[in-house]
Amino acid sequence: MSNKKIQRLADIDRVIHEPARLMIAAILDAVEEADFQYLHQTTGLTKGNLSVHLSKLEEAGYVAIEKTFRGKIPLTVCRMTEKGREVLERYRKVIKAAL
Amino acid sequence: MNDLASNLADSDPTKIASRLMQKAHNRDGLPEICAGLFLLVVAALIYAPRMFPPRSMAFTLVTVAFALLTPLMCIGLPWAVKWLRKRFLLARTGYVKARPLPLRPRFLVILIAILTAAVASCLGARAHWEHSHWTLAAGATLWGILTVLFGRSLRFVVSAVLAVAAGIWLAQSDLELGLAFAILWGGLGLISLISGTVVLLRFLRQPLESEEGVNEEGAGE
Repeated sequence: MSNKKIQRLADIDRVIHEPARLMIAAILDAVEEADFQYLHQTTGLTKGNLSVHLSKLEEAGYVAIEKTFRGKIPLTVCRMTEKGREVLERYRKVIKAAL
Repeated sequence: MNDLASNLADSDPTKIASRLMQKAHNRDGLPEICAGLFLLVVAALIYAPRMFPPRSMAFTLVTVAFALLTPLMCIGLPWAVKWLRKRFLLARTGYVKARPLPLRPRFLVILIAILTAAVASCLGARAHWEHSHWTLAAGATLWGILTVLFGRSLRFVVSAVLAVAAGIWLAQSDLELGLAFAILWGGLGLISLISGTVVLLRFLRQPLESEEGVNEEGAGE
């Protein structure tokens, strides 16, 4: 393997690299949008953990979060932004090339 | 935490996430209940014409009902599942909207499988060729493949094995073909309905969690 490929690992996005956030990003990348409850059930993360990781992804501009209602049920709808999708795709390429 | 992150380097995350979405889709048993209802109606409509003389009013009505109800149920049942979830189960199941997919090869394969099964069933029901009973086994096998493909959990594998076994057993029996098809689809529909109802009841018995108190814990990095 070339040194360049290994050295590119140093540049990977640390926000997306964290396993729990990577999991959330991968799920949101595969869907149009999903709510907090769905992400909680699918990832197996605790609600507190999920909330904090979602906030970090939102701060980085990778995930857009919208608080809304379906009837009387509150919904926290999350969707991946274009920037988020690009970062995830770049991350996957770097990891694949390096491993 | 599930194994999504650890598999990410050597698997396609979109495929893993789609698999998770598929699992979540079947978690409440509603799709199984609908599939069961659909198969029971189809079985009843296959069996019903045998009870009436050909070209009688009842016979014509049953034939028209078969032609109309089957496509209507194919469209209506998935819509009913969505509506029921949105109306009654949203707080439990969560909300997810799939990305609009282009017509991918997988869907083409499924479409071809359904068409093949339909053509085989028609040929088997009408023609009297030597091996026509084996359309039962072929139909059951196709159903089994679709079940495993969409289900992705142990209960669907068991259901698929039962379907194939029943198809082979009925293919070797001396039963009249139409009756054998009615028994096959009716039996599979009943299994699907019971299994889906049990899953739904177990799902409804799980305690309902709210989004309150979300910020009590840290990220734990």
